[in-house]
Amino acid sequence: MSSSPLLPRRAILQGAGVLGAFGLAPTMAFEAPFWSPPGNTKVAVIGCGPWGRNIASELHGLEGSEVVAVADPVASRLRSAVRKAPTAKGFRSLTEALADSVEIQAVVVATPSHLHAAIVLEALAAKLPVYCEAPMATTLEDLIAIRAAAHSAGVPFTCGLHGRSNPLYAHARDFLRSGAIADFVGFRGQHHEKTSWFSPAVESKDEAELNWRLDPELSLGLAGEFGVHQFDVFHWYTGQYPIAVRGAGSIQLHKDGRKVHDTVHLDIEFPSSRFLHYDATIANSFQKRFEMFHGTAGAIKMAQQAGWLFKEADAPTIGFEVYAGRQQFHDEEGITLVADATKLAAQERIKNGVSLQEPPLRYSLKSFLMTVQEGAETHCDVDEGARASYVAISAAKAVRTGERIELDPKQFRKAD
Amino acid sequence: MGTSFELVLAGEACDRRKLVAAGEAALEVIRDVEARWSLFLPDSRLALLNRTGHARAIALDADDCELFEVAASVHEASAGAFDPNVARAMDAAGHFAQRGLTPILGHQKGPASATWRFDVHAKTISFSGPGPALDLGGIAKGHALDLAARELQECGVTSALLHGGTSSVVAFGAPPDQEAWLVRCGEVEVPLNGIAIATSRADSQSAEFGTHILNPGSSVKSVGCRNAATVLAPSAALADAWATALCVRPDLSHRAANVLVRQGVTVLSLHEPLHNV
Repeated sequence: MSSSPLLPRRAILQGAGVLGAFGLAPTMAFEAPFWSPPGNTKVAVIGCGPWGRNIASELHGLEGSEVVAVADPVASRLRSAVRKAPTAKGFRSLTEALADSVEIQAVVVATPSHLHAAIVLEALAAKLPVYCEAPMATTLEDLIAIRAAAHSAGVPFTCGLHGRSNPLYAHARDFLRSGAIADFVGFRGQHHEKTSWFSPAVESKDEAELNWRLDPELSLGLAGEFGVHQFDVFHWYTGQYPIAVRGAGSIQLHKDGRKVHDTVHLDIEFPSSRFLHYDATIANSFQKRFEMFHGTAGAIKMAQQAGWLFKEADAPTIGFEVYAGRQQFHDEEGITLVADATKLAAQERIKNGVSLQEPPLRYSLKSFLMTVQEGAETHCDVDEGARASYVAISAAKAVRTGERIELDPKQFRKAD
Repeated sequence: MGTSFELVLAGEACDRRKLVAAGEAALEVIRDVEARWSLFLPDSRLALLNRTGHARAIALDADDCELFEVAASVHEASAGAFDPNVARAMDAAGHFAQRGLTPILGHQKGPASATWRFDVHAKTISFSGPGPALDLGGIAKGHALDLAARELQECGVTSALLHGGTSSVVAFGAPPDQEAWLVRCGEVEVPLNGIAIATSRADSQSAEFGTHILNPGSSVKSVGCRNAATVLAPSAALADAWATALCVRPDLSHRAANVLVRQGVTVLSLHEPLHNV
């Protein structure tokens, strides 16, 4: 696979290095390559639900990786995963895969969130580099255990928070932190996706396993499963972590006896009395997913594959505006944010509209492979993964209890 | 693919929750095919192929291989009447701009002899040199329907009809109190169960652009505006590919008769498009 013409692989990592100046960037870097396998990195993907299969498929198509194992206790999911990664051998679990003769050099954990901890700890105990999807865990105890194990294992660890590896998000963050919207006023975010969150099981014995997200004892609900990826973007962009969170939830559409809300609202308090108003629903899909940053000179809206700047009337002109594409949103005009806008403008491509050249997940997996193969700095280390997951756990508790949950500043401190 | 898909699932009322969830899973499969093989999404696998396929081979998974096995077999059997390497010609003829679409063609222009190569053993797709740009339009639509039907069956659904843009239909089982799902083709009602039907019609879009179905080859041109073909096949991808080939060259219905029989393809009509489901 080629590197993105918008931002080569190396540039992503160089960008991450610049971010270190703000004291928020990933901290885990290896002075020498952790390990340089002569050929492809042999990866095991643990968890073969739709997202795990997506990961297996991306890794199968990526230069520098070979999916050698996929694991899931549900046979139908395992069969589907092997179709997505035909080089892989199927197993019921990581334990089974590690006991087999197949050589595994890195582990990707995409199981239900409440199962992450045990698998991550098993992989780290085997001294295997780990890529763990977010939220990393559903309890603070598990987060602490993962964090400690990752720090002592001495192998690369990446949390799958994809905003940080998305070149468009990195570009917009640099732009925002250079003062493009001046001082923050507040934040908004949403994830709207109309779906039932129910998975039909061919065999009834698999139904509970497949529908863990609808089990209030296991699931962080929408606040945790959707919110965690977006909370991290706000942490990364602002350099701040929340002080407290209030939440409420309801069932607006899926009145089928479920206990996990299909619609949630959160008010997350950041320092200086700034609030993130966040809502997530699986009862409506309007405007899907975005994060918005409101400032005194304008606003920035990020929507995974695209981003826009909306200027206040009194905001100064910015150099790239003359090249930029524009989109109308009712009575607002958005200036399209594009990574490497000047270079693209020179190629006369920018006004035609340029979007990401690869899916966000691919950037994230490429970045992980580079930590394994070249000792590169991870785009999201275990500490940042744990911080976002801690906010997700707290947000889920706020929704569940209806109480204001104060966040413990100790959880956001850097490890010694 | 730029078209709408519709799924009709049959089952007991008490199964509604499971049917809805199965339908969601099938639609997710269709979205995934769109994300991988759309000519218009910059981050699709097809965009990557069109940009870089001359320089490196793209790895395919088992589902992708099914798609390109069908494409390669019909390309060969139809002597090139079916050829997805028409994206540049379609663009040059103005068909994409007319619909407000920007195709991802790559920037490399090369010799007309450069073509696409599916390596069944290595499970890769690549170009023999700079220049080709694939448009998997119809066959990708059929492929999406095939995978969606498989997903529904894996979710335990026993009866469903799925269509993409009404021109490609696949069905299995039967609706309640009926013997089969029925699709009208001209005056004939065709029963579908475990089989697909597709139609290709070179309806003229405008005098300026000609028809949207092009006759591939050294001098690409639109086929006649009265051409149409409707076929039955074991898969929707195969049906779509053959419908296109026969729309381009109706004489293949007898010239390629042996292959059509071997692949289980039945030519229903060379004039009548599908009308109603």
